[in-house]
Amino acid sequence: MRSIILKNTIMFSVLSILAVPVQASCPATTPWTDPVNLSISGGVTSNIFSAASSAGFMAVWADSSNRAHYSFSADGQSWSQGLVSAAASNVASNSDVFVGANADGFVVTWIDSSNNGWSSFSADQGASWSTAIRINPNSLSLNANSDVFVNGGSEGFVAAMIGSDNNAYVSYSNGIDAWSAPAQVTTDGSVYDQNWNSKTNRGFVTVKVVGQTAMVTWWNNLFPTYSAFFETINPFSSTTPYPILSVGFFESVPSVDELNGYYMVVSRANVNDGQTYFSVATHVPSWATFAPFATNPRNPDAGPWVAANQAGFISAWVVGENQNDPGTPVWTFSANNGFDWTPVCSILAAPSSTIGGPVGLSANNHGFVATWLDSNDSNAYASFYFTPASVLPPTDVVGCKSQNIFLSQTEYANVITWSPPTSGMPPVSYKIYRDANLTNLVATIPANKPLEFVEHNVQPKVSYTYYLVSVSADDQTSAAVSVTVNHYCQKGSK
Amino acid sequence: MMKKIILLAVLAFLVTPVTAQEVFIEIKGSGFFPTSHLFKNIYHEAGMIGGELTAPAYNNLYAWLSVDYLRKSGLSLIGNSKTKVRYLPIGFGLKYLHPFCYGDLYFGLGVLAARIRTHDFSPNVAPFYSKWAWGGIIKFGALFDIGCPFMLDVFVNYAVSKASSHNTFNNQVVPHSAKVNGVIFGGGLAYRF
Repeated sequence: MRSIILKNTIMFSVLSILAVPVQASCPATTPWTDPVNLSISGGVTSNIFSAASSAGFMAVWADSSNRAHYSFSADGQSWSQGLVSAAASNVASNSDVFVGANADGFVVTWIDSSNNGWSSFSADQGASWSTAIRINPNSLSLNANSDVFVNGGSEGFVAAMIGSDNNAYVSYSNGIDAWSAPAQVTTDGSVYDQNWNSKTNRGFVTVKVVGQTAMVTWWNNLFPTYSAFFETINPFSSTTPYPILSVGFFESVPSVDELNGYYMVVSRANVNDGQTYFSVATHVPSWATFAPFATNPRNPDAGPWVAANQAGFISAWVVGENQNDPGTPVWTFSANNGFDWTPVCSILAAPSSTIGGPVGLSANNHGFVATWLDSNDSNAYASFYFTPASVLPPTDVVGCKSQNIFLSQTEYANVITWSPPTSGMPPVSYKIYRDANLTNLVATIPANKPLEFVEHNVQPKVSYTYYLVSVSADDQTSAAVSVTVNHYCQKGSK
Repeated sequence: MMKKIILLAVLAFLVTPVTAQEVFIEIKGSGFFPTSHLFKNIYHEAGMIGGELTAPAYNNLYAWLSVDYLRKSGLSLIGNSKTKVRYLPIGFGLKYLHPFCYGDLYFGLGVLAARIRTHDFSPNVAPFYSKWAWGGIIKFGALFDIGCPFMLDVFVNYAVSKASSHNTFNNQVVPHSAKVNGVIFGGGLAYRF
C-alpha cells in the first residue's frame, strides 16, 4: 500500500505540473452537436443525469408533478421520451432521479417523499418498466435531503444511499430481483447531505461499478472527498474509507468513472474561486493529490461530472456569468488518464447564461452525451460528442515457446496468438514490435490470415517480450499490448 | 579412425583359425523397434536388412562381423517437419554356440560403429547431419539345421549407439546427441561351409 501511495504521489506531482499549463486554443466550431430538447414541455425540476450502454443513452429527470421521465437515444442525437411508469407521481419534490446501465438494461432510481429509495428496470430502452422495487429496507431510513444514486456494470447494479445517520450505504441487485441488504460504507456519520450550487442541493453518494468491483465516492461534511473500494459487490466485501487527498475543501459531490483500471474523480474545490479539480487512482483507492483542470475564468458554477469511453475521459461543468465568463456548459478531454487535458471549451456554439446545475455525462463506444437543465424554459437538453470508433488493441494475446525436435537438433520458436478486439474499428492488420517504443517492427500480420506470429530460432532459456498493435484501414494504430514469452506451449516440454 | 577400427575388425576376423565347414555366411531381415525416445517418436519402427559372417574362434566361441542398413522417414516432434534417417551399423564380436537337437543356440556380444545420416526438411534447422555413432550389441538366437548346408537363424538383438552433435547452425538451433537404441527381431538364411 505504501509503495502504491508513493507511486501515485510521484505520478501526480508530475501530473499537476503537466496538466495545468495546457494552453492550446479551443476549436473554431464545437464538436458537440446542437442541443436537443429532451423534455419539450418544460416543468423539469431536477438536474439531468444519464447513463449509457452499447444500446444507447438514457437521460432521466423529475418534473413538477413528481414524476420521473426518461429519454432514450440509440445514437446520442435522436431522442424518444416517456415516463418511468413505476415511479408514478411519487418522486420527492426537488429531488434528482438517477439511471444506471449495463448490457441487460437500464435501472432508474428515485427517492419518495417518505425518504424511501426505489428502482425500476427496463430491458427495452424504456418502452416498458418493471414495477417499483424498494431499495432500502425498513431498518434503514434515508436522509431527507439525499438522493439514491445507481450505477451498473457487467455483474449488476449498485445503489448508493445516505442514511438518516449520515452514513453511506450500498446495495446490490441485478436490476430485476430485490436489492441486497445494504452494506454500510461509513460508520462515523460523516457523509454530507448537500451538493452546493446544484439545482436541488441534495446530497448523494456516487459509485462506479466495474465487473465485480465498485468504487464509492462521497463528499464529507468536513469538506474533503472520500472513497471506498469494494473488491466484490455480490456480496459486498469489507472496505475501509479512504480520503481523496485534498487541496482545501470541496463544494460538490465528487463524480467518478473508470477507464482501463484508472479511476478519475472530479469535484469543485473552493480554492481559487471554486476551480474544478480532478484526481486519478488505480483500482486500489490511493488517490493522487487533486490537480486543477485549468485556471480562471473557466471555473464551475456547479459540480463537474466525468465519463469515460475508449477514447479517454471527459469532464464537463457549467461556467457562470458571475465569473465574467459567457456562461455555458464547458468540457475538457484527456486521452492519457489525466496527464494532459484539452483546453476547457464551450459545448454550445452560442453560450447561455441560463444553464445551471451539474452537467450530466455518460459515454459508450460511440461517444459522450452531456445533459443539463436550462432554467430559461425548464427543459432538459442533451448534446452528443462523437468519438470515432478508434481501433482497439488485440485481445487474448498469448505467447509461448514451441519446439521443432529432430533426432540431432532442436529449434525453438516463440509463438504468439491473439484475437481481434471486440469493439471499435475492425483492424486490417496487426503489427508486432520488439520494443515498447514501437520502433523495432518484427512482423505485420494481415487480419484475414491466422492471427498467429511465430519467430523461429530463438534461444530456449531467454524471455522475450513483444508489443502488438492493431492497425485500422485508415492507418490508425491502437495502443500496444505486450506479451512476454517465457514458458513452453506444450506441457512437459523443456 | 573409423576406417582403422573397421579394418582391425576385419583383420581380427580373418586371422581367426577357421575350418571350412564351420564358417557361416548369412543374409538377414529384421524389424527394428526403437527404444530411444526421439528415434522412436520421430521414425517409429523400421525394417532392416543386412548380412553377417560367422567363423569359429575357439571351441564353441565364434567371431562374427555384420553390416545392416535401415532407412526411414518421419516427422519431427511438435513441429511436424519431414525428416529422413539412414542408419548403417557395422558390428563385430563373439558368439557362443551351444548345440541342441535341431541346431545351435547362441549368445553374442559385440561393438557397433554406425553411420547415422539425417535430412531435416525445415528452413530453420541444419538440413543435413552425418556422424559415426558408437555403441554395442547383445545377441540371442538359434540356428536351425534345415538341411545341409543351410541353416535358419532366428534372433533377437538389442543394440545401442550414440553420436555427438555440435552444429548450432549459426547459433540458431540447440544440437544434441543422436541416439539409436532398439530391439531387433529377425531371421536369416545362413550358408555353412
